[in-house]
Amino acid sequence: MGISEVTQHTCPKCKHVNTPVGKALTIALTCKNCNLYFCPLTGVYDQFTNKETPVLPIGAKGNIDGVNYRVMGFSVKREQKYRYIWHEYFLFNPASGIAFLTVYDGNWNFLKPYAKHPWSYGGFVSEPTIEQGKFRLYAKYKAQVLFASGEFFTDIVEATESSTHYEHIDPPYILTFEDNSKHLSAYLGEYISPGDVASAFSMDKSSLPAKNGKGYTQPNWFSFDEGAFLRVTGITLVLTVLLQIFLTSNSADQLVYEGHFDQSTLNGQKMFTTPAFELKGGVKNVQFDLSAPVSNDWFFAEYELVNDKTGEDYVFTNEIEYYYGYEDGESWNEGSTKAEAFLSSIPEGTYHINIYPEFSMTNHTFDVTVRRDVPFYSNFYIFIFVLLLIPAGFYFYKHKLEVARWEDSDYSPYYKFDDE
Amino acid sequence: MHTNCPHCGKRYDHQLNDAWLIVCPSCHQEITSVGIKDDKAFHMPDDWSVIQIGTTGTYKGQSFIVCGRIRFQMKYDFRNLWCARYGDKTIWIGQSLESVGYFTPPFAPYPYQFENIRAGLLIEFSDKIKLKCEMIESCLSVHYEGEIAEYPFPDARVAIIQASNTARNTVLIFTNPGGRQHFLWGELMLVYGVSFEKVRTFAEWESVK
Repeated sequence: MGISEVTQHTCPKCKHVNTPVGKALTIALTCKNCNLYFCPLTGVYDQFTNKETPVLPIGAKGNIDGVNYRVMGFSVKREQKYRYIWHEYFLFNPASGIAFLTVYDGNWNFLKPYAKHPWSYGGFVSEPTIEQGKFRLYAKYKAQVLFASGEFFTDIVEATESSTHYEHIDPPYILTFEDNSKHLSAYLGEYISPGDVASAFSMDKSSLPAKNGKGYTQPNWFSFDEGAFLRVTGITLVLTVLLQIFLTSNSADQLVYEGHFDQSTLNGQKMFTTPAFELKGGVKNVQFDLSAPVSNDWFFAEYELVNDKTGEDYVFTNEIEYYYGYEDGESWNEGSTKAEAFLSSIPEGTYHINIYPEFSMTNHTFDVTVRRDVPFYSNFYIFIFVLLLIPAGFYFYKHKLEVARWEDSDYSPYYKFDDE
Repeated sequence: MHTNCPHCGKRYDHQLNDAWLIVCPSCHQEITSVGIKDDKAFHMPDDWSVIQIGTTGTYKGQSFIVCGRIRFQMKYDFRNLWCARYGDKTIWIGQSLESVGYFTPPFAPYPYQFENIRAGLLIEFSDKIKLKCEMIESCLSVHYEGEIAEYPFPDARVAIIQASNTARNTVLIFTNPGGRQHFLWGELMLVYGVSFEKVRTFAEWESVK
């Protein structure tokens, strides 16, 4: 191994000799004596007027993702257009390289260099896609360094202020790209909770900046495999449709009784009794198709399906109403001359029906048709509705969360939609 | 094959078949006679690199052992160009803070000329291959250590251009003020996606205390 030359830099202002921790990697540093920010190789220096105190002190060590990082530098940056301010911590580990912790409104991201950003070697595709996902542009900006302390492996003032910065997100990931005339730099980051930052640096969470709102890369509270969720829903939907098709195609849909009733045949009796009919095929449903030629009138009846052998009966009532007219230049109508009644799970056997009708002054007849083992759709529709309601509700809720996430972005994919 | 250092007399065992420069590991003076005039060029600054002479690794199923390095210091960046024995050939390993590149063919003349090149522009590497310029910087100083294969610009101030394409090809182009240009052709890797053995370790980073 060659000579390990000790790197030292003399402050151009106070002449203090600084020995940077980053050794030859350190390209910019603040003087430990007078806090002047200077770049020994270029002679550039800058005395920041602001004084900021980092919550992660320069020199602090923390373990993130199993790597022991040292806080090398701290900077405060301001976006030029909207003038929002964030803090950046520059981290280093010789084996793992450089990394950054950024914090805005108490929300943290942890970033590492990413040489495979599609923009680094290809065209400016609008949605860069990498292994972690498809990213959308969240912010494009110029920035200014308001304050810096510690050491940096580039001139962060020059690099920050000469670059156009692009931030794409696919929560919890963030993909950044910095473009200036000398360098293209890209970083891939991930949201890191304040608790994890505090834990990494063995600090009390309360000493970190208070969290204000949801971070733009913060994952939603629900985290599950949405693809699997949709697949399960889709498979259930298909199976339900297939089951319904099977049940429909296998239903007998057998006409077992058909009768016309006229009040004049009651002869003083209060009820009609149908002839006996057979219900076959085990336990199946029975459907009653009822109709009465009512016109601005009603027809009511109580129906009693009676098992001739056991005497067990199944009772239901039904009212048929149909009204219509012409009012304020418009025709209207409501109700119907037909109705349906449905009894599920009726055992096989010989049955008859007792019908207790209540006739109006104008209508005196009605018809009853009884069908056995008819295809039944209402349960199917209710199940499908509930099945689709769950993902619909989920995506509506998720949409609301995503709209809120993109609220501060000039590039929100939801902006126009919600504005209209 | 071995040589004795003409300055300190220590024995040096050759590593490469195409050695061009050998810096004595004992006295840090040049064993060969390339004629680099800057004495400081052999005093390699420490830059926390975990790769060192003797570091080993594997690239495309073939092992390599690092024999030497050229370090380029730029205004805002640096590049380490490690030279390694790779079977009976030589491989260059480019190292920066952001990426690692493996360059198997030796330096070759680059036939095209640049005008107004800047990061982000496409440059023509051949009639069919275009690469995007990721970095262009002037070199402020060059340091050498160990044994390295031929580097075409000893003692010259060079500008370095790195460009890559979607196929992960990367090229390092070195250009001197006279307009002469040479390049290394290779493959780009994520800086944290490669692993080496017999690396330098740093006790001060082993705990967070």
